[in-house]
Amino acid sequence: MKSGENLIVKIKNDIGAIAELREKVGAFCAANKMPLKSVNNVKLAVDEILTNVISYAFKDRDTHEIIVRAGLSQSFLHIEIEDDGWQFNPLRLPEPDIEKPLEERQIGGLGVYLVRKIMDGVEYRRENEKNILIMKKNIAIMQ
Amino acid sequence: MKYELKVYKIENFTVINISGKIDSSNSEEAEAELNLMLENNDRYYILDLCGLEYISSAGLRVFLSASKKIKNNKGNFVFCSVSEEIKEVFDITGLLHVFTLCETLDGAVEKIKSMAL
Repeated sequence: MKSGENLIVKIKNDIGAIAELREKVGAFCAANKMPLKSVNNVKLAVDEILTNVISYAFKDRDTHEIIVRAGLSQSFLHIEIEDDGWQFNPLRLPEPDIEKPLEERQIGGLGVYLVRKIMDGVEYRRENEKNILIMKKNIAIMQ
Repeated sequence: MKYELKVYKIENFTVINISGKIDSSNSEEAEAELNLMLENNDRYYILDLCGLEYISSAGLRVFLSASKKIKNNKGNFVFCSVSEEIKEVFDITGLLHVFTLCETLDGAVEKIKSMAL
């Protein structure tokens, strides 16, 4: 990520902290002239990943810090989400069966499924005992 | 994070207006509140989403749970005034084709009348 045009926000592992972070990331995207639809997609993706991380990556009851970085390269917005929880790769959650009858639907896994669909790339890596999830969204103007 | 549920009647049909934002921080509360509203012996409902600004996958739980409850009671429901953003979430998760969506509240009243026949 290039410096100078980045957003770095730190939040605690508290589900209630997601909304404010989501709005900050949205404002950063909007300030960088991304189309509204893309801004909304990015906000949703950040929400879904943080919900998963906060719900599943921490096995103790301690307070943890999650670092969210957003930055622009030439044609992509990059979002990086870093936490110090147990090794947790949300991309390995089983894909939901979206063809199932309504009565048999499970909610789990839908969030990550949404992220894969609305973003243009999602990667996970474990590094220095940190979970690092990187998403990108094409910001080139689409016809 | 705030959402609001308002309930009223149009021609004997219960309309529940859902506004604000529903995400992982408040979806359980919204689910419980909506389920309570569905315990009024009615079978047919209109869920008006004209004021719903945001929903995440956690929020979808609210609608899946409501749907189960209404269908278990041999009833039916329609959505109306769903924003493009929320329609996209319904679409990607395969819900657009299992839910009934109407453009307007008037259209929803007509639709639910035909379902209740």
